[in-house]
Amino acid sequence: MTETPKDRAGISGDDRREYLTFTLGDEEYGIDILNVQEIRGYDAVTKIANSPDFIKGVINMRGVIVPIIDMRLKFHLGVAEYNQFTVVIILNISGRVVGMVVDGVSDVIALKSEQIRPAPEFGAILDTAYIDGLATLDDRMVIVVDIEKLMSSGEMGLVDQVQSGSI
Amino acid sequence: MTIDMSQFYQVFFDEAAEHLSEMESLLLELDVTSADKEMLNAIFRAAHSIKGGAGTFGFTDMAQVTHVLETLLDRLRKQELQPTTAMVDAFLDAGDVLKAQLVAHQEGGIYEDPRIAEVCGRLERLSVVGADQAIPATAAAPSRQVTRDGTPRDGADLAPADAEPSCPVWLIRIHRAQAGLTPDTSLDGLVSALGELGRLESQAADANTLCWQLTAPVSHDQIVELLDFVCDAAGVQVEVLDHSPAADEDPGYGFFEPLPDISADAASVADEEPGFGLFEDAPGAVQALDQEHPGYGLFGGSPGMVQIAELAASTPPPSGTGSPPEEGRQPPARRMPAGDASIRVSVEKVDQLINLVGELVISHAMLAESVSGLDPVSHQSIFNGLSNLERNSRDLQQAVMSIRMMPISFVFNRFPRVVRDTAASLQKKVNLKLVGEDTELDKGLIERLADPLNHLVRNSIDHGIEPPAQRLAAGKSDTGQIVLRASHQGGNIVVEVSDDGAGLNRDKLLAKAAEKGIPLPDHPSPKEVWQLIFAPGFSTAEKVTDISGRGVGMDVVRRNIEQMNGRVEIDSEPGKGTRIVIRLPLTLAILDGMSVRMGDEIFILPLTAIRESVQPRREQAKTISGKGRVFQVGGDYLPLVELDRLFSRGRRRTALEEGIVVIVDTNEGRAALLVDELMAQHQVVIKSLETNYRKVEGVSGATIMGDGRVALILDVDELMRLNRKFGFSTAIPEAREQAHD
Repeated sequence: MTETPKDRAGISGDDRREYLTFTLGDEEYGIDILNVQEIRGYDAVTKIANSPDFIKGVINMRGVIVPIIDMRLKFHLGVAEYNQFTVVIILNISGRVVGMVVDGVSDVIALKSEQIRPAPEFGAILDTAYIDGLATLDDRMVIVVDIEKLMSSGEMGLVDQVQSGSI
Repeated sequence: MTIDMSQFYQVFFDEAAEHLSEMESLLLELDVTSADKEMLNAIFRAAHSIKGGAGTFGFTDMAQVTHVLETLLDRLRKQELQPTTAMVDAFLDAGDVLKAQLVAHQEGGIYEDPRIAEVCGRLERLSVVGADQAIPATAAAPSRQVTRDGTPRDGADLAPADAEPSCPVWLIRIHRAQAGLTPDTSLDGLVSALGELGRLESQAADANTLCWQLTAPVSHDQIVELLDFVCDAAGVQVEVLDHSPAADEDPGYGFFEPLPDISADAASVADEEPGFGLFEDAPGAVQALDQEHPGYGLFGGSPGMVQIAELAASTPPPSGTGSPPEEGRQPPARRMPAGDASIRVSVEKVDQLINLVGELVISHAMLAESVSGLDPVSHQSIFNGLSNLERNSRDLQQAVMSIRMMPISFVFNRFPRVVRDTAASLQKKVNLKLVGEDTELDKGLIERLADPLNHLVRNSIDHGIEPPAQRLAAGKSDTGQIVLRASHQGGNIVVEVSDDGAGLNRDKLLAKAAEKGIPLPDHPSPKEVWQLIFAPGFSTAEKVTDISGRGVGMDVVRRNIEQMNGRVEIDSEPGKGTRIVIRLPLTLAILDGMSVRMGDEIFILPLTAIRESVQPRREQAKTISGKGRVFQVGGDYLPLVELDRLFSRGRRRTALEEGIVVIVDTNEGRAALLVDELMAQHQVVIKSLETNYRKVEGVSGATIMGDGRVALILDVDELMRLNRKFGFSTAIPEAREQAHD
């Protein structure tokens, strides 16, 4: 966890970093693979009262209570069916474990930093503040997301922004 | 090779802190008029251990203070000086200085204060003054072997493995003439040395023969060796008796002297002199006493006994007349023998273990559920194996949970000091009584209980106990009494702080409540009135009443307790005193709960909150001015909390008569909670939602049910708040502000 992606990139000799790509609707996203803890199927969740609709609820992952976010709902891509192919990417964001429901996991790709181009201000369904850039792979466009920034942002409501009342 | 010592610092800090608190509790217990040698030894050992550690780690400032401390203690324990109150005070101050130094070192600094020099100077003066007033040999070496029961001490670690309650009984006969003793040779030194070995009883003897019966775990040679210092072996006869002495007590006996009047062969008359008059008034002695042998309590495997035997065995007898020239220097704090009974483990490791065991229990439940469809006859071995697994994992869970359990004395033991200091600064006389210190509860709770208790005890002294003159005027003894009591009640720990002071003043509380605009029923019950002192900011107003200040931080006390899933109750009677009762769950990790169904979701309701459940009838629910709903139970109207409405499920609401109403206790009084169904009672392992998510309103945590699903644990107090937030309140607006402080 203390190891940053940059350290890892150094090992392979160039500045390549690996990204896990997943699909949401028609779009393909990439996230830093070092934030991915595991990939699993979708279980029944326990709903949490008075939470935004994209927070599906919490699951028990080997004794750890993990919140599950539906990225399609979050990005307003409509409600998708949950079936046996629905995949949850379990992320580890600076020690916090969060599950993310996506349409499907496609690939692990290695990208050099020059392959990632800055994203224009529009066109993506999420705030460009959370987008590192766009990468082209063959003829596909991958939106590279700073998942760490996104998940710890206030709009996700995953983290108490003001740590009050804690002892 | 350089070794980074800093990695061991934490161990030293922990140990030193333990030694300091042990020293302090021993000092507070020390009775200066008849100081117990063993106690002085224990204090000395604690000081010496700190000194050793401080020296090793290069904390010279601490080593210096402990050195001065140790010098005086050493003289005390060698009976060269008689302890005085001034000394005890100086020791306590030195302890404070050491604590401050320890804290400073922990923070990487050094504690600089003129106090250090002052305390050291005081200790030095004390150890010089009266150095020549050696204590008469006749009073020497009083060995009060009774130690506080159940208090772990350094000394207890010295216990040899063979310490058994059944000790050999030795009959020691000394012929005065043959042993080279003149009739007036004092044998007090010998008697006390023997007394240190174990239980010594003088047998009737004539002027020429001395006879003792010694019950001690020593060998023949050890006794002979001891006697050898005093008299010729020729006149000494030591033999084993295999019968137990008749228990005939003679508590008034002072110390041993030859009894010329008693006939020589009256050996069968076995008088017991309980410890040569040294046992009475032993603090805590009562606990340690053996039923059959009041005044001894030495042989029931009590730690003090073993300790003394061990010390005595390693020490030549202290000086009497004609005793050995060199005074045996006892090895102070000796290292714990190998295979010591305890190890230091970080709490995280224990918690991890508890989590894992929790997982095991859950896995088992899941397994059991998946095989439940199988035919029990053809799969008998699976079912047998599962039931074994269940038993084992439950046992394991219990055993693991017990690791975290510690006696509450860890908190209680600080209070003698707190009471002493607070009472002295307020010029009040207060006596503290501790009851049930052995009650065990979760370590996490113990740590979090310390502050609230501290607050309550200080409050009791400050505002509860009246000044001596006022007490006398009220016909009470001038010394106030504060009782700290801990006990198990059902699945709860009950900690009680009671005083016999003035009690709470109902009228003043009510007036204050009116002034503050705190809503109250027309005819509030006493409990409702007393609960007022927990209202935030209740007492920050001008200091006019005897209760002012009693509320300072009382809301914090209550909040702390509630964070531990506990409750606070107050009982008070004017002129008689106040009693504050804290109820806590046994541990923070497990909760007794009732699972309730709401739609297709399961929630856990803490059992402590549930008062009763009722099958509702439609006419019991009433609407108030079109928005709030109340539920009528008996003659009371309780706010009706509809869980499905609060948790905005977006489904049709449960009709009142289809569900069940649970009456729960909340901060704001009782409330009626409407759920679909009561399911079952569980012990659930509490998991935090905040680890990976955030605080959820109305929910205090989550747990994992037998089928692996997550169930949320409801927080009834927050549900009330939510209920109001959504506009279904019956409470008046001011109260809403209060709750949202």
